[in-house]
Amino acid sequence: MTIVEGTEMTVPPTEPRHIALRFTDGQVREFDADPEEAILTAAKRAGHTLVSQCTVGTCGTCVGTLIDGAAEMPAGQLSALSKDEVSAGQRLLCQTRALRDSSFDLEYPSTLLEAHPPVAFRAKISRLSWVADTVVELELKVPKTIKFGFAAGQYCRIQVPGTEEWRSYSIASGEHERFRLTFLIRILPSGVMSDFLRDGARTGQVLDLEGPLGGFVLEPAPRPTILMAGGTGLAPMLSMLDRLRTVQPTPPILLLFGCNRPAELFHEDELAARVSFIPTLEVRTVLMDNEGRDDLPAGTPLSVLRPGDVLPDTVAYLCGPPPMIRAAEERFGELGLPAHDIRAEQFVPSEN
Amino acid sequence: MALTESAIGNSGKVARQYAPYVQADWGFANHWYPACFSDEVAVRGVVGVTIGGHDIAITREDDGTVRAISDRCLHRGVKLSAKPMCFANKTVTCWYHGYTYNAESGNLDTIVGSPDDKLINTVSVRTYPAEEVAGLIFVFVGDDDYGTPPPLDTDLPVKVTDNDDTPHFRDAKIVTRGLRRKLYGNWRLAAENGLDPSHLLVHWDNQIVVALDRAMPLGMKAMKDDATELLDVENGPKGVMNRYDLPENYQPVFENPIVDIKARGTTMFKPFRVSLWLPGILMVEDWPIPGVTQYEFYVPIDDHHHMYFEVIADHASTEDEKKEFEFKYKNFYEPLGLLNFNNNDVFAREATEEHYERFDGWNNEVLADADFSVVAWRKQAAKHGRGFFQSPYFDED
Repeated sequence: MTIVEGTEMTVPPTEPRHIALRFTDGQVREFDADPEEAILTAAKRAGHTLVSQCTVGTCGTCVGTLIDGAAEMPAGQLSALSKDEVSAGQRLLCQTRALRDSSFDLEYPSTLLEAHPPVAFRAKISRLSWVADTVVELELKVPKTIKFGFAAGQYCRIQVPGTEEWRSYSIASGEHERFRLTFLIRILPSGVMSDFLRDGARTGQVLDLEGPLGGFVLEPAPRPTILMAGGTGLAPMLSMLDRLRTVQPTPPILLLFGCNRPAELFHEDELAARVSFIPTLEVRTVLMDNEGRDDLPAGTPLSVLRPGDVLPDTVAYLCGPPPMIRAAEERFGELGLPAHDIRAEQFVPSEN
Repeated sequence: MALTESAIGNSGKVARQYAPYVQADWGFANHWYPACFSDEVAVRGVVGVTIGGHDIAITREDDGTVRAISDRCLHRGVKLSAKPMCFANKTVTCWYHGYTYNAESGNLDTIVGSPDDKLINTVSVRTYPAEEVAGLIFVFVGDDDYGTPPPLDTDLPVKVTDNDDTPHFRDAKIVTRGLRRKLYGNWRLAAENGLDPSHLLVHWDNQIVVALDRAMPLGMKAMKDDATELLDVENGPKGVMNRYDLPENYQPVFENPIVDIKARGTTMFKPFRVSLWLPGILMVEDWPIPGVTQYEFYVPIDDHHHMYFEVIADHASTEDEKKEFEFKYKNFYEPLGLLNFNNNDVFAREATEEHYERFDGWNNEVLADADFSVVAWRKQAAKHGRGFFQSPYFDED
């Protein structure tokens, strides 16, 4: 791997750069990008609509990993990537310009976009239930006339009614339930979506959505899988479990699930039930503060990971708050997992 | 007693334990299902069926090979099977504008009245793997990106006891006869009924039972927690079984003095064995008479209809034995068993549908001890279903 930082140029500034994108299914897409053109834009011009959402560098959806060449993002701008992640080669393709011919790895199969292009649609609230003090499970009914489908792990944007605000939530229901989507939403003391769900939402109300979005999806081939979820980061894991369950043979799956305190813990029944019908699934639930629930260990999801859980061909999927993800990426790296086998949903808290 | 609680019913908690089963309203995808009987499909004939929302046309090549392709013409969407037309071997022609499909590849080979059309050889209809066993045609139906289907035998009941010689699908000398009918009601309600040890009451006043003076229990009482055995054949079919022939598992209940009811009949028969297999196959060994096996398939058509296959299987090697089987089928098994007796079951299943359809029945049952058997099946099905059919229709919401 050669990553050249800074402004070292080996190609004249006006020459187009040759770009190669490699997907998890081994497919490669190649095209030329102009020097001032973002990789995402150049790809689209060449007919390859990549996974992306905000296109301004804040959501983190379009992340790719530079494996050869040189490419940089504008300095001094707020980014969803940490310095460490950038030095490990990660780039937001909507912001990235290639300095010379470059190759990138993407964490999803090339078939993802052709299979389920994002659509804008409206869906009705069919159920809203509080599953913990701070968590709402929202079920939406999608009209069958909408050509909507998704891959487990992807998310939708939902507009907060009466505002111009949009929020992103992972789909918790399985791929086969594309007409009845469920979301797990963390309710904060204040915030436009939280306020709406707490005070304004009614069954039957119509919401505007856009999706599916994101490239946080399962590998096509079954491998020993570790799912690590903090709080409502459990949502994409539930959908992934629905997918993994039908894979033959079902690989060993370890779900590490952490919440802050007993009153914020949810879906214990749901997970126990899944263990009963997914024989290869093991769940470890953990609470940061386990007072009143000393049957559960105190700590983070990472604290209940044992070295022996990680096999050479393990793939790990992480979803939760950024500190959990950063710590987990480091730990899985120490335990020998290559970076491309640690998949994380870049979770950007956006409530206000 | 909390009357309201017990009257409303609240099985939501237990339903969670077999959630994939509750979600399978359109049936489990990626399994082998019987499409029709072999003798329904002549060489160059076309028979149309619908399985889990998939419209499928079954046809037969000149050499006898059975093929299955999508039963929707690409052109205007009519069913090919609406008016069968096979002009050349291994093709199906749409009766409307002559689009002609290769029965093996699905390719648009030609258009009868427009042989130079640019569309030819550029499009194809979907094909489905098809196999023929013991007088039935099976197709593998599910996601088109599923990959190589598992062998048909993973979805065929097998012999799991060794104490007698009841007929099974892969037996060399098996003979079968049967019928199929499209019925109202979700496939799961149909499947559960036959396994259910306490459903025998629906047959209490059955004419054959009365005529034969047959001692038909009012119900079967489980003698231990695991009276319903889990069947998990390695690389094979999955299901559950009630062995009414094992007294340590089940004892028949012949009377209930509280309501002054006694089972009719005094003639004891050899107890039968009932097993229910994925993706919805009932096997009743030693039924309707000892030595014979009755198979039933509950093939989902949509979320409120299923195709009910009723099949009688026996052993016969010589022409005389085959003739005798045919005679008995026509004059006993079919009229008295598959129609008269099973119509009690059909009545019960259709009567169950409304609650499940309109009152969210899966989350609103009041289950009793005797339902452990049905719950065991639901859990087994939840574990081993390979996927889900989904409604393909745009005109419903």
